[in-house]
Amino acid sequence: MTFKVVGHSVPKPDAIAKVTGAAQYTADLTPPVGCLHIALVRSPYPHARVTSIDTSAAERLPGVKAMMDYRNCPQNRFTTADGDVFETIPRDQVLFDSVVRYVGEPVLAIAATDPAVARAARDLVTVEYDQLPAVFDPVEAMDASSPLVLSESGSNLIVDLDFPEQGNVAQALQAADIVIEHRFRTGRQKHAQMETFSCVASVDSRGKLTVWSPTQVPGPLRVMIARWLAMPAGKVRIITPFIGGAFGGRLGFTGEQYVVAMAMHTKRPCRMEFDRTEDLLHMESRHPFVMDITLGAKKDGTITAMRATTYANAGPYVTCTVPVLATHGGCHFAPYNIPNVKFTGKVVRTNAPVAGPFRGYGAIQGHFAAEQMIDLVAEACGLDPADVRLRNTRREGDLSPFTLQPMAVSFGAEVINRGVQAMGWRDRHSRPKADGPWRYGSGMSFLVWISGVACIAGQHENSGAIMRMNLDGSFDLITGAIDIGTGAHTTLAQVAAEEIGVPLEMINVGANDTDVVPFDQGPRASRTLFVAGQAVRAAARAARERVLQRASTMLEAAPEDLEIQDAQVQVAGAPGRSVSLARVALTAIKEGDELITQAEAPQNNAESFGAQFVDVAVNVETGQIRLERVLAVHDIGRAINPTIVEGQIEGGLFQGIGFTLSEEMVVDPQTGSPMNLSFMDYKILTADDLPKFETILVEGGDGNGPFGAKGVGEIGLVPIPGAIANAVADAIGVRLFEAPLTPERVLRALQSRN
Amino acid sequence: MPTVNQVTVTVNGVEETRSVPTLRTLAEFLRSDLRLTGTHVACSQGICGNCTVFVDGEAVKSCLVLAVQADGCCVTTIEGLGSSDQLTPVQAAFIEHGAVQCGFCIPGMIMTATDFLAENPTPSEPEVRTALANNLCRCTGYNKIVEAVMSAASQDKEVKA
Repeated sequence: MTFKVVGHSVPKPDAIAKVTGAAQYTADLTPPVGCLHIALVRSPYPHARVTSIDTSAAERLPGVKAMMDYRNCPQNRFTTADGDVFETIPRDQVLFDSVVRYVGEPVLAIAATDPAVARAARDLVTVEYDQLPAVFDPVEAMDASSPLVLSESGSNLIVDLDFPEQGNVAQALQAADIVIEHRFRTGRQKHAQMETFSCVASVDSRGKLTVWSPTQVPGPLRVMIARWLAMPAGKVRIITPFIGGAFGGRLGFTGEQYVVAMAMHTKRPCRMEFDRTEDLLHMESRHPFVMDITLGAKKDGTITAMRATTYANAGPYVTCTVPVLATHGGCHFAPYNIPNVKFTGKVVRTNAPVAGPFRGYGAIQGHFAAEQMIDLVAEACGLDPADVRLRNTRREGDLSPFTLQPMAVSFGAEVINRGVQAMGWRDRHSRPKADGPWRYGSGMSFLVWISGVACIAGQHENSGAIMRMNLDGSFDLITGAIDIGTGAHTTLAQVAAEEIGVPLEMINVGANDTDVVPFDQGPRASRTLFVAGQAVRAAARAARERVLQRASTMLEAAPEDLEIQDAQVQVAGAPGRSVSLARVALTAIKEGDELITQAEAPQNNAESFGAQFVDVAVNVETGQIRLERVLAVHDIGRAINPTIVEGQIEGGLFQGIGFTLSEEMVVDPQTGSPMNLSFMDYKILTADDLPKFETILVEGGDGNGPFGAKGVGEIGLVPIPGAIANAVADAIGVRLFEAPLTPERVLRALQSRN
Repeated sequence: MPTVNQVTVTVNGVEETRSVPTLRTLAEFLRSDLRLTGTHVACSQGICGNCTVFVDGEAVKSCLVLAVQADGCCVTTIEGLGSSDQLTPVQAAFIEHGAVQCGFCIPGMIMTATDFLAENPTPSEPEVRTALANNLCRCTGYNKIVEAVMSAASQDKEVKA
């Protein structure tokens, strides 16, 4: 089937504003008249009671207008995670508390007429603390002798996620030919999006609060603010300018709560902007995990049993740790048919920095471990790692690991086979193994992924779309879906354009303003195009039907005999009998019909398989790992915009490589202090560090998504750590069980081998 | 009371005179005093390159230059490079090759690429990667950015800094 708009790599309409510098991000907006600037005083200690606060020197600074701390802040509790909206997450935070529980926790806010004055005032505030014992490691924190992070709780174990056992793991392990058991650890990754946090909040003369923020979730954020401050929903409006990256870091209260509280308190517009140091300190991190895994297998490589326990380091507040750990558990070894499975997840409170949502959502940590375990089974059986995966992959007719329904089709074997061929995988050991200090190796990994969370363990999806026809024959696409740089607004417009039968330019995607757009859960879980796209397609189909119905009266022809082409509705085979879309709209409105349609996304899902392959070179003298070749093969259903799909996969690969090789927020084990709050030593990889990524997009399957498209936001990211770790083990003959694989850890592993 | 200085800078061909505190960076001056917000600040430490502009024809990180140091100089920002009606070859290539995702790093990336191609009109891919090594991007993984720069280079047009 050929499409006119879908399947084409059309340039993104918003790219022009971005390449000319015209695009406005939140910090680019001119602050409102009378705007105050907020600075936060933060705790230097991981656990302490605030015993006194002296603001007298700060108050004397000209321009300082207001202060807020635990004594005068709103007392209503909240959680920063936007699960707050659906009441699925305990509200265990308050704006400022008399006890601080992590290094950097805000203690006091200052509002001043100038950002420099606010920062100077911050340095003049004296806070005295009584330090309390602290714990930073999640396994240690579970011990009864460890200090309690929340004194009112009986234990640092917040939740024990006990998944029901499938089959009989103990029996299967007893009967297995091979049993392998290991512990893995993963590090604290930061979103490090290029645009640091910034937010403006202003209350107008009618008491309506408007918030400008680079949030991923304007709809949920509006609900959270209204509930927290006991305001009617109609009094809260969120406007989202261009967003400079998010990656899951902007899914709830990310600092807006301070700006909003101060705006309400001072009755003046307020603005807060973090520099990079403060952004790296404040933004919630990826959850560090400790993962214990036991696999049982037969000599022929069939995996018969899996038992896993994962400890998630939540930091002092629970945020989204339960869904992250549940996702991790549900995705653990998900591509494989394993009949006997037991997973337990421990959500643990510590005084380490707060963790939160991040692209990959627990599954990237899991895959780093799981895909290495698969390779260990291959080693023990003397089999090729690709063959072990082919032996165990879920195939057509097997149950989806997510919806638990039989899969009509599975691309599992295909993505592996395509990658094996393109990579020259079967010949990899005929290549040189060493050259001076360099050792060469190859590795692979395997993935099955979701498109949103509908139909998974009782979860649901929300996205509404409205199409409104204009008098020039164009259509406004009014969607709650947010474009954080992914190109979602472009691809959703492509879906609408294709469905109606108009060129892309005739679809207008407007501003992200909660006064206008329907509710949407925001970009996460690789959901936007899949979920919002179904709503868009349905609304567009309804719009097309209304247009044809109106035109059929005007042209005296049956709607099924009409086509839409080049902004005209014409009788098929009789091009002379046509009417412009503009004229259809004008005729309709003269009869009281503005041609507005609306649709909601249905509840459904789609499995997407992926296989990734890496060639590495490891320097045994320096511990450096160089990626020589990276290949990602992904089953994406249909590429609405192939360039955009590749861009998502490549961007995911890049962040996953960073997770594996260089990115770690180091927390001092004595003081709980984050040590590397700068791009100087929080190492983000550059163009020079990376090879050109190769991607193979596998289409097909006729799935639920618009034109068969599946979600792609996280598929590039999740498998790459396992592939790299496997390649490194192949290169140097020893395996690393802790990410990131820093040069130090590589050298230590080499030493332990020798 | 911080010392205030008068500076005169020609920005994108327009002479601007303002009073600035000594410690105001060129990046802050462009963004707040002149409301040219296309130049972005992402690290304030000269590492990410998002703030790259030209000062007297040289690509510099404007977060590491004081406004007073630019007194009497000619500065070009992303706004002065091209416009929506007339994109430069580099700008057009970035759009065509899907090199623009969130866009935050893009002005700095385009400034660096433009400056590089003026000196090296026929680079190899490794040379492009090295030239862009001081411009951090968090979205793209650099594949399509490098492709765009190679494509702009291969066009037979003069790329002006």
